[in-house]
Amino acid sequence: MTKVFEQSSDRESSQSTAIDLDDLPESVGCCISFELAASQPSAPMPELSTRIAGAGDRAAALVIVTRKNKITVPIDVNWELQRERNLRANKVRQTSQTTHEEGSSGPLTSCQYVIK
Amino acid sequence: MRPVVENWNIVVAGLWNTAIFSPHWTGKRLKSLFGIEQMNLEFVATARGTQVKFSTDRFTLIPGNEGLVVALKQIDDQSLDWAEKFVIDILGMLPHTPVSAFGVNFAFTEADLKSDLAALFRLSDSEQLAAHGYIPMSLSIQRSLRLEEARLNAILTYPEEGALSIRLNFHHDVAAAEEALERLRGHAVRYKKDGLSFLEKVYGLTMEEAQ
Repeated sequence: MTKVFEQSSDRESSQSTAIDLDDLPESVGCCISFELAASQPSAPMPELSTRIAGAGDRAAALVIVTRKNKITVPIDVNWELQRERNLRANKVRQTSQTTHEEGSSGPLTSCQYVIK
Repeated sequence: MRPVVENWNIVVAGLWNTAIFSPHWTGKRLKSLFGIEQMNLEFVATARGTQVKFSTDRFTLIPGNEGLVVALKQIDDQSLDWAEKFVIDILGMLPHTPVSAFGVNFAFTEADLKSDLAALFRLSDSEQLAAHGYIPMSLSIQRSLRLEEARLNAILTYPEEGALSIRLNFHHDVAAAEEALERLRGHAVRYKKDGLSFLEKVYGLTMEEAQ
């Protein structure tokens, strides 16, 4: 069964909770915090990456926020949940292709290689 | 029914590190397994970049990011057996490769479509299609059949270049390289026999010699 994990961990605490996708919540947040080493230079610039789920449906996949010597990484997994919902609703089963057909290829160069 | 040698192959679907397949590494495997002293390196320009193939007299290795293909150049049992041994060796050498499935594939073509086979391609919507001006160019019938641990995907297409095209895919979903290795071992030649038996029993088709 596919599960999404809600996790929070730092030096003081660590916990993990499994959520069954059979009972999908409206929204799930995931946050991982950890302290930077004292000698580490100032944290990297915040970075935002996005994934497009569909027309007008945009979700932040990863946002990094830095504060002094602590870095926090909240991960928005709503997009994954929505995708899982869609796959199930549409009864999409992902399979691996194990066929291969030789097609007309482009220019071919070949040379002999002597195995030593 | 003639074999289409170009489309006889073993495919392992997974996330492959193609950088491992250097001429030196691949050559060493071929020499150690079969005593092969030389191979051909083929460089094919494609829309996605240059594809490198490692070719011997019996088969060609085509490493890809999402699938490893060992394509046969001859359809005799020894070539098929060597192709299987080569795939098993690679799976054994690279056991951490995430592998999701493998397939053993055979292809044939039949120019003379007998009446009982032709009847397969007369579907109930043919008249409606013709009545509304839709001209069928080609029709594929795909059946997925359970065959012990494998799934046999049998795809019949007519017409394809004026003949009946037959593709047999013996497919296994697997969880890891080790499982693929165990399931493939000793099966390539057997699947060839199973495939030929299937085509003869069900459709009355027998294989002619390759031209």
